[in-house]
Amino acid sequence: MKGFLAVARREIVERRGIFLAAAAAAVLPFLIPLLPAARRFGASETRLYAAAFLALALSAVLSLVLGTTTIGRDLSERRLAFYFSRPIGNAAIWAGKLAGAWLLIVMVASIVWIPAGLFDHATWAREIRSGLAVSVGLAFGLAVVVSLALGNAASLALRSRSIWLAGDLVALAVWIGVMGSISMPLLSAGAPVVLQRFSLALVTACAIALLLSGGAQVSIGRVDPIRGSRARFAALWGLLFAVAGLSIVSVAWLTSPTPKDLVSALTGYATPHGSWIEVEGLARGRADYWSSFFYDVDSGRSVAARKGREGAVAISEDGSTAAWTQPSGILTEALQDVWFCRLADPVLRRARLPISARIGNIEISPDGSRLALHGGGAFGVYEIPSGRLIGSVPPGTDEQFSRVAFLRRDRLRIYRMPFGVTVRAGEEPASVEILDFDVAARRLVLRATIAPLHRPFSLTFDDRAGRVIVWERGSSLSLFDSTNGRLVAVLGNAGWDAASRAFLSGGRIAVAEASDGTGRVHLFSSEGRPERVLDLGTADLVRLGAETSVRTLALSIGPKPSVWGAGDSFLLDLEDGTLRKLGSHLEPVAAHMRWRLPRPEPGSIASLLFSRSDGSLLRLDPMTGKLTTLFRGR
Amino acid sequence: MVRDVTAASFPIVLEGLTVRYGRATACENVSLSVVAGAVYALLGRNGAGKSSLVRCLLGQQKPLAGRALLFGQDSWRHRARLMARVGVVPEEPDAPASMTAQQISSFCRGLYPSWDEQGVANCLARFAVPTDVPFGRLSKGQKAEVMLAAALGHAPELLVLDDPTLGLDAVARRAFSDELIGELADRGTTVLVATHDLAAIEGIATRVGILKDGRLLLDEEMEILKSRFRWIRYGNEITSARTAYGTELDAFDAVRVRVRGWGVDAVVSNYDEIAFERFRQTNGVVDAEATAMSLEEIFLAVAGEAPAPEDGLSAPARGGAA
Repeated sequence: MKGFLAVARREIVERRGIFLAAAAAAVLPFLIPLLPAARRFGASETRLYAAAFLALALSAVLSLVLGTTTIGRDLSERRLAFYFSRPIGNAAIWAGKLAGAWLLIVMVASIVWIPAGLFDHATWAREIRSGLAVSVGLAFGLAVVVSLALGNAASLALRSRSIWLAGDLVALAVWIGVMGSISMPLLSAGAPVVLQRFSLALVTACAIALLLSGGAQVSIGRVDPIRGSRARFAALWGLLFAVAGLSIVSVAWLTSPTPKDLVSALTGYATPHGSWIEVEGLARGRADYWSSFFYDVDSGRSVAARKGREGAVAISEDGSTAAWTQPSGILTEALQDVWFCRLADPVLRRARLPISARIGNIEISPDGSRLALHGGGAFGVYEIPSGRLIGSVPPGTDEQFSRVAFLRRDRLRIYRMPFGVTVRAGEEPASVEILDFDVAARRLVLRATIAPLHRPFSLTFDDRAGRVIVWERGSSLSLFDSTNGRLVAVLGNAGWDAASRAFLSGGRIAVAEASDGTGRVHLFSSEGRPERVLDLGTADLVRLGAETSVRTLALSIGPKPSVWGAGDSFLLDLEDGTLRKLGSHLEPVAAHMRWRLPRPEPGSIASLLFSRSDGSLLRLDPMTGKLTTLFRGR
Repeated sequence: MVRDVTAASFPIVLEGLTVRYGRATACENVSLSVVAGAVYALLGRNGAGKSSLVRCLLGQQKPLAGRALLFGQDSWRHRARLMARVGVVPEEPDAPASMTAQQISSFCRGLYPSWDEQGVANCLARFAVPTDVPFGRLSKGQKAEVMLAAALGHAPELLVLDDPTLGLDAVARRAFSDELIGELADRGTTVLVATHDLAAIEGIATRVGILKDGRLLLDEEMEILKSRFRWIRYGNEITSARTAYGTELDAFDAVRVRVRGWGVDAVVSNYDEIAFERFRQTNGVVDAEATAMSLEEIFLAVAGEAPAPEDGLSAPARGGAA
């Protein structure tokens, strides 16, 4: 310890002239508020920020200069033997020199910053209490260490002028390549917290590796430059590639959660037939990394799907095929990849699509043989699993948002409407175009236009039956024929707060509305004729789920404003109007899947799933009425 | 216990020390030991491997093979601990340029419990070295003197000097030697000195080692060395041709023989008074005389290059060095 302190003290004393420069720099923050350009800011803040800026700038320059000269210059000028001829440990020589340099930089920063801080102590204390100052301080300390380490390692490598320098360049290129490919999944995952933590750990590990390599050069090589260079090279690249190995393991772990790791399972999609669903959410220990799975609720089997939040997911109606899209790289112009798999035999196949626009939605044909996708105004149909383009529509404008649904294997229905249905006062009424795309003929045919529509409005689809319900908020609730745009019936009036609509089996229509604090479900015939009204009692907001059996409809009753998970779930007997409570803070999943899956079959997996506010996912047994937890929440 | 006794008796032991720089060999299988209280002069031409050997001895460089022991301990593994007992004067004074002699003394005070700051100050005063001038601005001689003063400040048991007077003028060399002699007289410190200053070391050294091309050619007590080396000159009437010599010098292990017009001029490494008397009475040997040699002359004879035939000199004699 004596040796370490003696070397560190010597390092500071040797460069004590820097303190004079720091003292001179400390005066500058007091002069800057006098400048005319600075008068419009508060003098106190100006002084503090100028002092902080000067302290950081001086420290940055000093870190690099000291990093490159400490030890490296002693070695090249053969002055390190002065210390090795004394009873000072090898590590103490190296650590003492670097600690002295580090302390010198911190002292210089303090000399520049503290006078301004003491002068404006009230503002200073406020800034420190804000927590930002602590973060900046920690970042500063780490940055100084990293700069010192980097300068030191670079200087030792360059001054050695040995063959190992060429080895350094080769190893650096390989290491950058390896780390680039390791980091790619995190960069493309859209998880800033994970990325930040990973980067911080990586920078810290690299700084340690750089520092230890300098230590190895001094401790192992001592005054022998050849042996020292060899030791530095081995230590530096051994450690950095060990860091790369650890990174591979940690990134693999981060990006490979299992469904059991999900702490909040959202159901993105469920098949109308079969038992496969798509679940996604945050996973345990992985901060904001978003993962997605295809999950068979009957067998518990799963297939890892999209990594990160970017991209769209789909399962074919027969539950045989799944697909998702994902950008192939991190740049905005990166082409999109589409991944396919047969769920019964989940071998993943990838096809690269010739488009780079963000894909808004994908659909798989009922038999799982074709994939339709649209994004950035483009629309195309691709063969599964080859990824071959079968037909496409020339790109439209970016202002249009479409919904796509397969009517048959070779025919799709496309709804084209203004992007964003949120109204702004005084805007023109909107319209919805309904088009059919003949895949074989590659022909797009305009079937109908529904107009004018007052915004905001929302739609409920029944693609197969050719119907669409349009609710113009504050206006009317209407049933249209989507094959020709004809108004079939007006279902409700302007007084309804018709938040939820559903097409039922047999073609009937259910509309839930909650006016004046009382909830009701209105049942209509398939032509829109009113049949009966079922009273729900006190309710501010009603969400309709799906039919858990032919005569039972799941719904939730909750408070306003709408918060997912705040409602209580019930089963409504559509024949006698009785309500049976299933649970509190429970919502039928079908209520938020309606855009993708407008009309789940009664008793299908989509109709039986419920989610709680804690992120757990439950399955209803329609025979016993009991709920079973599939995924636990937080 | 045996090891402790050995360690106390032999502060320096080198065992098969080999140092290489790539393909170049600096030291090849060098073994020697220095007894406590001895002054060991390590001689050799530039590039003979002296500095590499010294660096290994001080634990600053790891030998490729073999080991260097200081006080019975491996100097590479226990360098820091051992340096508390060793004073070092390097070939190139290596103190930081901005440090004054006073600061160097203060720096060392914190490292050695027995540091004699007043003793160092006195030493520097004897040398007339200013204590407040940065080391980088001192003359070469003053730098060497500061390094010697710093090496002696903690009364080391062993002093290692690597060509400390290289490049110094005669006055500085004398001052340096005087201080060293004083130190030896006062404390009987063991000394290993690698040097080219043969005249100065001749009066101090008790044992000599000569390195050539990394090999230890000679390792011997100074007294014995000087007693067995002689310069023998004689007129040659033994051979019919006066430009050659026969077997008459075989008993003396001639290191170098020059055949001149008047006779033969030879350096021998196995001189003996009785044998020389017999040699003088040999038929054909005329006016034979034997002259004692200085250390420098011995070194030149042992470590110098062999003379080329076109110089009019003969090849080295049969026999050779020890």
